[in-house]
Amino acid sequence: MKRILSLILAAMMLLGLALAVGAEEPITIGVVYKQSGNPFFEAGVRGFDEASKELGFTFIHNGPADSSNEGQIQIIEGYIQQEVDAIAISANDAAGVVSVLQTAMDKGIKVVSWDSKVEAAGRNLNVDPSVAQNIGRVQVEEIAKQIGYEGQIAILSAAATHDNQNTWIAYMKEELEKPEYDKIELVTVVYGDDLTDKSYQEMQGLINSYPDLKGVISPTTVGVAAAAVAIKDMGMSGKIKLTGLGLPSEMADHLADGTCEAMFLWNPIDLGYAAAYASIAMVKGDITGAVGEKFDAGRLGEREIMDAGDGGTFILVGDPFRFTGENIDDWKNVY
Amino acid sequence: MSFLKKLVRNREAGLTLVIILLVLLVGLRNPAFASLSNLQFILGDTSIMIILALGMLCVLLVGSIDISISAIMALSAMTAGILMKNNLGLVETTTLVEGVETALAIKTSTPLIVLILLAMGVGAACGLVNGLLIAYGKVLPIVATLGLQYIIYGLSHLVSSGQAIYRKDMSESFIQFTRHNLLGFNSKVWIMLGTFLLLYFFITYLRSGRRLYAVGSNREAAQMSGIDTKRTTLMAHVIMGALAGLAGMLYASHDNKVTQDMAMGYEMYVIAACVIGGVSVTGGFGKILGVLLGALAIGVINNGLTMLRLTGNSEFWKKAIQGAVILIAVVTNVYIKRGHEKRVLRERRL
Repeated sequence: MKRILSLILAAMMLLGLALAVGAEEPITIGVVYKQSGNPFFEAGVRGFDEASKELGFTFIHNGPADSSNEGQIQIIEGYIQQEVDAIAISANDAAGVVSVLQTAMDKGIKVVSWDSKVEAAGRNLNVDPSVAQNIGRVQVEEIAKQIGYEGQIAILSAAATHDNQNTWIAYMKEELEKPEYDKIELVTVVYGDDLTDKSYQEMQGLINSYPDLKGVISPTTVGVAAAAVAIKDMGMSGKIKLTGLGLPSEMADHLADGTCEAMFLWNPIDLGYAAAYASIAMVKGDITGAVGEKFDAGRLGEREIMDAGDGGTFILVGDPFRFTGENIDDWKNVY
Repeated sequence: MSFLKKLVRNREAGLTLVIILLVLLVGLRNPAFASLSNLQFILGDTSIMIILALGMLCVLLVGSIDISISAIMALSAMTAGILMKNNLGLVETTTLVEGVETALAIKTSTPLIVLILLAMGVGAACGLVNGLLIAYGKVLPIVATLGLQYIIYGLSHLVSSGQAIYRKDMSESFIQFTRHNLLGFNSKVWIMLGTFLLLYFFITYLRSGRRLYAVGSNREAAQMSGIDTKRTTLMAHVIMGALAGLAGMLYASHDNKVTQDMAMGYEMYVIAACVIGGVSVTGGFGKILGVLLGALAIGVINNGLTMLRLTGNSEFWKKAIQGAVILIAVVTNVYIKRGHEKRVLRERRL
């Protein structure tokens, strides 16, 4: 009896072993975003989710509550411990995460930055939402048109350490050098730290400090929404024009009543989706992140890797879309 | 007694003077700061902090503390927000635009008062759990409420199922909740004043209110004289929770947004307001007027630093200056208390 029992046990163990060897361990991506609870990144995660159903990988996602560099380092260190296959990050500080990501790459983990890039030394590939120059340009064109190419404007940004914000603002300033914007004066750049309360206070401060202010560009979803509320509360709707990068679901009412005539955003779902496809292609060895390589990005079609000009490489997802009171109903329940 | 000594003794007068000085100083550099409309804005903006600080006063008086209030704000606003979003509908009315009757669709939902009571109920329930853990479970207040903070933020994530509540999900009455004006003051100010008077009456004239001081200053003596110290502690936490629920609704209406991690870190401003206002963090000592002024001082500093534009990003300055103000307040507290005790001893000729 004992022998039969032990035989059965041994057989079961063998079977278990065979199963364990047969089942391939799924690829795991560790997703890091700027801030937990931020709806933009919740939408980005939906893109990862969509890709995971098509490609059959698993992913974990997290971001610091305070959109800090330190918080992201801790999360990355956790992912290294958990031996993920790839890390897909939207960095709060392009330089601040380089060394911890180098540690990850030394252990064979592929690093893809998306939305807000990591410096070239700390990544294998960057997934750019759109050409930064275009993002800066369209917002200047929009505000200039709205204020009639004349008057004071201000920029309400997120934080002074956010690489994507700084790049866009630099391109905005470059665009403003053009002769058609001669009569437009950029009076200041203020930072709301992507906190609704602080952004609201900064906007309120702008309205009080610059009585001749004609327009505001806020290239951040938290900032542009808080600015819209502040403008409305202070009875400046229509008097101070507003544009920027906003979330359709959050900006729906402000676009419908004209407080914000038009704003822009790319699709964060597509952005997460493309970052997921790039990460998987890299883990599988289809691409290494070198210029000229191509890979299939699912429903977005084929993408070619290009030189980013910062010593690294990148792919493009798409161009920013212009949301207005007319088309917002089609988008406000999407993201 | 010299004027200066009197001023130090009378903390409320001293704080008022400091606030007036701050307003004048910042106003000199940016006149827009001292404008009537900006001062009214600061008062409205600080009202939420004052309401929370009033609750925190009760909790601190009994010798406890609550650092889960920001989480309670998020959970109660999220619960009410989800209900509001699910019941959202349009009502067609007509309004007069330049003398012409125009059709208008207004977003309506669950009545505002129901939403507020629900939020305050959720808040009170969280406060009850805090109170039970601390008074009956004998868990250290800071540990109990720290743990609860994480749990409550987790619950708020669960309730929201990862979604945020935006302006488009809000009824018109909720959006306008913090946007009505009466006699030049925002509705937040009036709600704050109401809460202030109610609580002032409670802790000054009612027996159960006076017990807050008794329990905090000498727990054993209070117990011997027949006061149920546990129930008093529990009551303080329930009041705090309910007020956090109310504050959460004001915060959400003001921001046009409820996220699952709303108001994170706000508890520190509230505790700082109490400390600056002269409330002892070890219990038994603190005036309600001091709390009001302490919160106003923080509000003025916050707004003043935004208007001063010391650097491109003044957040670090703001934090550093707040820290310095808190330290000065605590040190002053200690000296005043020591002087007070000495005086009492002298008067007793001991």
